[in-house]
Amino acid sequence: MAIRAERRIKYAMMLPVLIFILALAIFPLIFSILVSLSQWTPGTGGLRFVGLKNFLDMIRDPRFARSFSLSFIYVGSAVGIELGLGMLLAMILQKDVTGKNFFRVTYMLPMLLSPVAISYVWKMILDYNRGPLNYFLGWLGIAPVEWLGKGGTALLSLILVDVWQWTPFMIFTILAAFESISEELYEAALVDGASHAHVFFHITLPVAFPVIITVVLLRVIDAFKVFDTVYVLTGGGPGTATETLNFYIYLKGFRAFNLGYGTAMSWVQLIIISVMFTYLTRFLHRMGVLR
Amino acid sequence: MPGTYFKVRGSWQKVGIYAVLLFWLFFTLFPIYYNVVTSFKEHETVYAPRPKFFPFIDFKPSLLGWIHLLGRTAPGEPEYQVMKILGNRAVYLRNSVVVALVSSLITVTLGVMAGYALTRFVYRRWSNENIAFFILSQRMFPPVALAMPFFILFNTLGLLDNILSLIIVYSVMNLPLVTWIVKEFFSDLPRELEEAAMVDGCSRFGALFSVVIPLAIPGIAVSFLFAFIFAWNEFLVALTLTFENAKTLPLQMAGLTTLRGPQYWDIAASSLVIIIPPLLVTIFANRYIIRGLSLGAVKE
Repeated sequence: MAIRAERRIKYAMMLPVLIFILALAIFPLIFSILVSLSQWTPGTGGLRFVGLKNFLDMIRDPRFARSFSLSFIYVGSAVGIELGLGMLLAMILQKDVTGKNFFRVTYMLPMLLSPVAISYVWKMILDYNRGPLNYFLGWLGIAPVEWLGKGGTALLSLILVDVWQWTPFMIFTILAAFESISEELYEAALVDGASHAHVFFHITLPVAFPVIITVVLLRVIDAFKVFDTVYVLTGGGPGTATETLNFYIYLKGFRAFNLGYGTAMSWVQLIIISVMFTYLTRFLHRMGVLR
Repeated sequence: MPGTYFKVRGSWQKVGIYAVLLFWLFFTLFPIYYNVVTSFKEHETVYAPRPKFFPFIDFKPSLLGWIHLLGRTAPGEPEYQVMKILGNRAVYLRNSVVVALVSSLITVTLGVMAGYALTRFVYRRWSNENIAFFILSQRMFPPVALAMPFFILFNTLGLLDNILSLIIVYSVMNLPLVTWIVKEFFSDLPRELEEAAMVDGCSRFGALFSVVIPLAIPGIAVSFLFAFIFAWNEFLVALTLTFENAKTLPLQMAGLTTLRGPQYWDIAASSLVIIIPPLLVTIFANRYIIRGLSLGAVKE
């Protein structure tokens, strides 16, 4: 029967994917709950159940709280700056500028590049003695800055690399949202005597708002995952000044081989971020800015 | 007729706009340019009192980094040093290519199945939206959260330092993105086309392979390229699951500085090799990047 065959195809197409995900993403995740409740000893490879010890350790671990707040600072500043710059450049690119396509393609170049490779490039640029950045700053009469050697500037350097790589994402998502608004709407508003600022705040921005919120959330999720640039540029240092949460988890899990503790921390991270997002999207739904 | 709203008004506004655009152009391109230039430097140029920017004009280009990249030594250089720095680069390159290629083929195959099923069938028990969300939610997990259970699992299975483990992990990691992109492209295709083919006696599979997939080739190709690039760039999982035999290029690069001070010419040549594939993808597939990275939330 044709309907039977159709049914069979329907499940034959979907089940392999679901089984694949269940076996290779959900199972490891459930297994990791077990790991987070255990002590794993390398060598013997045995897991010893220790109950909630790893979670209680976290409360007493100042480095955990510190790296968590550092991650928030990193994500907040990087995504904030990217949003501001993205908005500005999207507004500019919406206008009739010459060479729009050229700017478009070149601005997009950083996005897909390997974070490890570009971190090395930025390491050359930020070099204290021979780096071009300090050289350019010298033209402006600014004394050389030890970018990666001091806590504050090291964090700033990481944010700079994130901004370099991901501002284009903001620019072009926001630009696409702007461009979805029909030109007649703008013309009509202008004919009715609205100022450009008025049009921007009462037409452009409200229409683009859901897209902006969505891409900010996507960016926040990804920025929290930051690891490669920290590993290459600062190694979490100087001291622990740029030790973001994922980097600290890595150190605990794979350098100290305390996999139980590392897994427990990544679960706390996952839960806090998911709860935050659930409430945030619910709040935005209630505000009516997200559908 | 072009609208007046988008006209650049006044010469001051024009100056401001182009100043911002050119500044951002410089900011974007400078690191890439500096990377290219540095790969043609050698010891003296790198350690010169001020940074050099223009080959032939303010420094004499050297092929040192590229000679090392090919695993050779420059005349008068002790061989063991170079070999120690570079390690087994040919193996790393092969690992990178094989892992990226195989994992993205698996991901795209599964992604096409899921994308097609989600757009053409109705799953009453679980509902299509829930399945789609379930697949997408995999993207929320920080890779480090998956790396630890995978480490223990692959340790038990004896698959540590084996490219098979990387292929498996990358196939799972890229699946949400690929499924989402393919699903977006499939839902844009009119159903009538395949229905017509099926009325003409094509089976469901026949219609899929002769009508749907050929029409969705741009989307499938783009999702393949994305999966390839993300596997090519991936660092954290490779760092934790490999030690030597299964190392990929980013890892080989990350090891470069620890051996002997910053050898910027070697680093620059290595990083250029890693950067070239994604640069090409950006240039040729830039129409799809935003749509892909925003998971279809933004259509251009």
